[in-house]
Amino acid sequence: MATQAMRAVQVTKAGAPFVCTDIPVPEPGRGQVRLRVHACGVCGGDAIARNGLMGVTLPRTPGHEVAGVIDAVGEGVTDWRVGQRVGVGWQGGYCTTCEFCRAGDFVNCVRAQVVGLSYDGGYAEYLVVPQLALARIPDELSFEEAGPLMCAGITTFNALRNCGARAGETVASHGIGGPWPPRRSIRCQDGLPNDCDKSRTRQGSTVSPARR
Amino acid sequence: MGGAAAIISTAGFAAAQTDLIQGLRPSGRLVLIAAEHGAALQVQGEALQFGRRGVIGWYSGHAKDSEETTAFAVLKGIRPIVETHPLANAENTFINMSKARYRAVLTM
Repeated sequence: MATQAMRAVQVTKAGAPFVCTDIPVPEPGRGQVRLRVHACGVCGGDAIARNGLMGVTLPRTPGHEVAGVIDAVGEGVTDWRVGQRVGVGWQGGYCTTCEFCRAGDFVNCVRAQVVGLSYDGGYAEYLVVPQLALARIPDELSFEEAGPLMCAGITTFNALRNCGARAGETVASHGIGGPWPPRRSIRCQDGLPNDCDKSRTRQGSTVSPARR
Repeated sequence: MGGAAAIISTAGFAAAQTDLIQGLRPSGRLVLIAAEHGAALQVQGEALQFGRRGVIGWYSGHAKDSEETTAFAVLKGIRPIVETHPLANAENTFINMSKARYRAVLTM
């Protein structure tokens, strides 16, 4: 059982430094679960909350590369149980009824929620999220490794597998931006040609076209 | 033109991304997963039309995509390279994000 108060990092004023404070441990409502957070990646997207953008209300706890363990489940939660290792990324919930959700395009939900913007995120000892936002974490991954896969990793992996390239074709990577760490390993181990390496470059510089 | 079926751009720098279009083979796609705020890419329409090339954007995914990302990491032995910092140091960790090798992660 959780304690009554927890450590959390908050944005209290747009553009101001984060504040580390004690706030009440949140309780999961219907369809929600509470996570005991073990790790949360630090992403450039956290600047949106920090700067009070995208309609965020303050105070707000940022963080959307969350990895932890389910600590409590709310009413109506049937497929998740206390003790499961789970992660939460940018996509923090969707309505299921809008035009995009009805087509299975949940990321473009017109009422999409973003973890650490629409509600408090993972820069805290606990957070509460809708069960829709939960991803199981395999035992082979540590929490520290799993956290960044929830945003940087999924963005790169999803972009790669939806880009239209097929196995054996040349894919070039450009830059060492935020999604870089997981991507580097994907490139080397996904069966893509080694000459992808020729396109590797420093951030902001021009890349030479990869050749087959 | 070049020979890449796809170019994944992780560096939000519009001038470099403009140049990358030359690296696409016919039917190739430039996929932006980072963008320079307020800056436009300059694209020759002919380079897109003749050769059916494309410039598209991407970000994130839903929870099942995240599960598949972690499953792929296990399957292929992929691990992100991270450095950990205590939650109490969140401010300094955020400010120094670009110096991390390679992803900064707060631990509780």
